[in-house]
Amino acid sequence: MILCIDMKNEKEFLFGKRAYRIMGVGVALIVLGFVLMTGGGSDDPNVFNPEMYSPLRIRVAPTLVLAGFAILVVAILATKKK
Amino acid sequence: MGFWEAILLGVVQGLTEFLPVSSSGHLALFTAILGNDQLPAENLLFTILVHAATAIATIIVFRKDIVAILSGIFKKDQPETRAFVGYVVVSMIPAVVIGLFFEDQITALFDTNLVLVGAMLCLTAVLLFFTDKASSKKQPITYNIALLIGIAQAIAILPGISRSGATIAVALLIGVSRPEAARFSFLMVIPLILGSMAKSILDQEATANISFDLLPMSVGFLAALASGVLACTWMIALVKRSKLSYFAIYCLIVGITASVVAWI
Repeated sequence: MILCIDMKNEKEFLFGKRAYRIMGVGVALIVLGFVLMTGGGSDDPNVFNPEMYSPLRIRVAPTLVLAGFAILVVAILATKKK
Repeated sequence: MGFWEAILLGVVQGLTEFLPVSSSGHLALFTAILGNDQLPAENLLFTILVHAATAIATIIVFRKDIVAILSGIFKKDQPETRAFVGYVVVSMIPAVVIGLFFEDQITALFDTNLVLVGAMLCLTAVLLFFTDKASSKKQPITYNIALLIGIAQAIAILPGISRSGATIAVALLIGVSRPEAARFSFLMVIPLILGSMAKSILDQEATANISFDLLPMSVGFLAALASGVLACTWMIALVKRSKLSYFAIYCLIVGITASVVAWI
């Protein structure tokens, strides 16, 4: 008995290769944003560290995270190329 | 947060966001059972990520609808698409008003009162029983109906009231068809979740001095995403087949148990 495997249907993914690449960029931006957002606090509760509210943490990092999520959504909605 | 804990919490968030059992009600119960320090409810990043995962799960399930809506907004021959976007915007108004001005007070009131949470779970059970009994008609969604569904969504901010259960129940009781009720219920919440997520990320006080552990955050996100896609697909099928009474029984048992235990 010969087994026929339909190779065309075997590797059918939900999204196209291009969409997965764009998703990768989105995820990378989200991770980078969260990493930049962390830290900045003072070890001593009586001492305020202004670094906690540096432009990098309160402006750049949240923007990167939001941009990452936006790219992720665009990648999901992008039409799959046949 | 540990690896398995992140997976468990991600799966719980993914399931309870879509299934009509009230995620906030369960969070209040778990917090009471385990103690405030046991649950990472205050772990903002994790909360943001699992909520984002459920929003993305909805976008994945409804991606064809969303693409059709986005591409049809500016087409002259598709007034029904523009109207649908209008219905979603109108439905968001009550929840935005309640969320912006009263959410803290509501959370404070219910966090310490499990009897109320239990009572709200029982109310969810009653809604779900009625939902299965409602005969499926073909009433199209209008601005008035969208507003009523939006009010149901705003009331569902109360811990114990299921958002999906309340909105689908109201839509079905008004006469909206079962597939359209489920579709509208899940599509209407996407802008709210994304808006709430953006507000949290941009909140300087909330994100100050946060910590980020890549592994638990990643697995929590993926667990919430996978379970969310499954739960959303399952819920749509359950609404179509009028099988929500199982969740009604569950909510009733949990609600009565929580109320009685808290009362004693």
